Amino acid sequence: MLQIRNLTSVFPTDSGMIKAVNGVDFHLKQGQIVGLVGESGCGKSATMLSILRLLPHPGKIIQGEVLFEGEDLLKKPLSEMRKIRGRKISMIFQDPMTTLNPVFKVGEQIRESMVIHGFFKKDGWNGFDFFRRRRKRKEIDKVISLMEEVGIPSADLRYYDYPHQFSGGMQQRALIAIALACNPRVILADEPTTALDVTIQAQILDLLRRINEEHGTGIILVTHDLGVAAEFCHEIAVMYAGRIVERSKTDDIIEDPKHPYTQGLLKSIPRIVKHKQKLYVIPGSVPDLLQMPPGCAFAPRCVYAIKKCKEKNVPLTEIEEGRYVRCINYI
Amino acid sequence: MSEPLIEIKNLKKYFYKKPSILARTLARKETEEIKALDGVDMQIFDGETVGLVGESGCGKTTFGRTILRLYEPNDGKIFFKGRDITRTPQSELKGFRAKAQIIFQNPYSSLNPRKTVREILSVPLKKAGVVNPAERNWRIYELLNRVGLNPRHIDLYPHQFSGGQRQRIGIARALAMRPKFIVADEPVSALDVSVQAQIINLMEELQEQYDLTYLFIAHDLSVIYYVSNRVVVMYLGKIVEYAETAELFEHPLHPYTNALLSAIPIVDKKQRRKRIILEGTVPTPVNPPKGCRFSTRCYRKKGKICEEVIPPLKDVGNGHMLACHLY
Repeated sequence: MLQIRNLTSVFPTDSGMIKAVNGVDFHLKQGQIVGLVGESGCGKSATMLSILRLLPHPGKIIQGEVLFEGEDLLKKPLSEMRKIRGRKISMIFQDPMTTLNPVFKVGEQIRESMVIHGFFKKDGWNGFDFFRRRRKRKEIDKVISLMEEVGIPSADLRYYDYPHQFSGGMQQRALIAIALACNPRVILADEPTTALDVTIQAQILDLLRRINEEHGTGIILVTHDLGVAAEFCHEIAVMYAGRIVERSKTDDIIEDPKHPYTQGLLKSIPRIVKHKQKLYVIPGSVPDLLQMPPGCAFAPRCVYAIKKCKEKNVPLTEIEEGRYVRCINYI
Repeated sequence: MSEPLIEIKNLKKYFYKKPSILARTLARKETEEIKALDGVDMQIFDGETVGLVGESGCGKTTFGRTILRLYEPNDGKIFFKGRDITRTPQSELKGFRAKAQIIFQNPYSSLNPRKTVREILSVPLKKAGVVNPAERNWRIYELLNRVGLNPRHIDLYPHQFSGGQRQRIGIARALAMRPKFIVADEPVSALDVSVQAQIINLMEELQEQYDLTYLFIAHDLSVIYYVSNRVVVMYLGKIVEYAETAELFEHPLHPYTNALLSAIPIVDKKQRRKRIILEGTVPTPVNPPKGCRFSTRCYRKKGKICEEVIPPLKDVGNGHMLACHLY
């Protein structure tokens, strides 16, 4: 349904081009949940923003295709993009407090998204409109039922509250309601639970899963928490320095990671097991995106690196059915 | 393990929120009392790591700061090595400050951006009586080496370091006084997984080398499981459960602990617990529930007793302390 091919986005800076997204390939099927995992600065969020063409200035997409329902989003005029954002593909951001507008009522903000996409009539002068109040009442009722669906208690009163009157979890629910308002086909969730506590995180993930099951909405979940990805997603893509290094079904990737970076990442998280071992540490640190090594980006830190790794970059190759790895050891 | 290093008895810390003069005169609003800590008892023994978990706003950080006297407690007693330090004037706390240090959560805001690493680390050394600059420099080199930083970076400013490196500077600063006891207030929450592993390993090495005692505050339960010998679970300013790590993770008794444990996303499929999804959110500490603090969200509520009587912290065997009416 959503297919991303060779997407490359750059940020030009004084000291050179930063390739935040460097040839990313992946696809999302109908009703699927894909997790995009990686450390901070590896280009997860930049990928999401590139899909919707929302990269902040001076970021630019220089290459690639984003095919949504057979059409390339990157070639569409901006006016059509505006109709797709929030209508067909919507996004949930990390920090709900900064995403909601503090001076408008939460309910109105949810209603606004439906007004913009033409589900409701525009506010303001619409000609002689004798049933304006009755119509607005109906609209509000619809928003309230949406708020109830995402689990906001006493929604009829909460409609008139301002964002600061909501707790973190409730604000995130309100954002999900905005994202859901037009019944989109795809939701891009950029670290939706990072700012929340574990018990609230469980509630929100449960809600997203329910939405996925009931509406068949595809979800791309960006997270740095492997646990969240492992429990929630059908498929996981691991990113490192702007590239996807491994992608496959969740169980495969967790039980039998192929790429050395994925292996290291999985070994370095503390687990709840009886025999305590020292935590594994991936040697070195993330490369500077300005001075990327010519070959595999992970090669300088990799324990299996051979001479060839540092010379040539390998493409993401399918080694088994549905398992893609970008590593020379599997070719 | 006979004499506790730190003993805390019935510690209370309230914050006060005074309404604006307009609200006070017109609406007759009274000063709100925020009960951040409401009667906490705990013992920390020499050389162990005590993990402290709970959701945000449950008083974890307040607790860490109050036992170091960075906040003045409203009530209760703090004993350090058997000595009561609850009411010692700040000017006489110097000896205690040298022995008890803190590592802060946010490595971006806890270092002065206008001071170099040398200046940052000089402060505690000067206080510790290292007056000779040459000796001080030598000690700083030693500290930087110990926490895995390049001593060549001694004259750099904090913004020139990555998050993990900054946290190492924070650790070096805490170590400068050669303390016995360190409160680690979410030292790894702001870091990436691979950096997190480095810092945790470093902290464990240091503990072995210098025979440190940690109070490790975190909201990530798998980190807590990994580092601590004993775990304390807090909810709304009160301890709800307290046991050896393995005991707590294998036989959690309090409904809140159970829910918390089930809510952590776990990578391994086999270890997942049946998820208990709690309704609602934590009530405000301004007006906490009258009885058991957890009664508003509890899914195993016994009845009226939960809403009216505060359950005492009782030993249920094997040093497993619990505050619940069910047992």
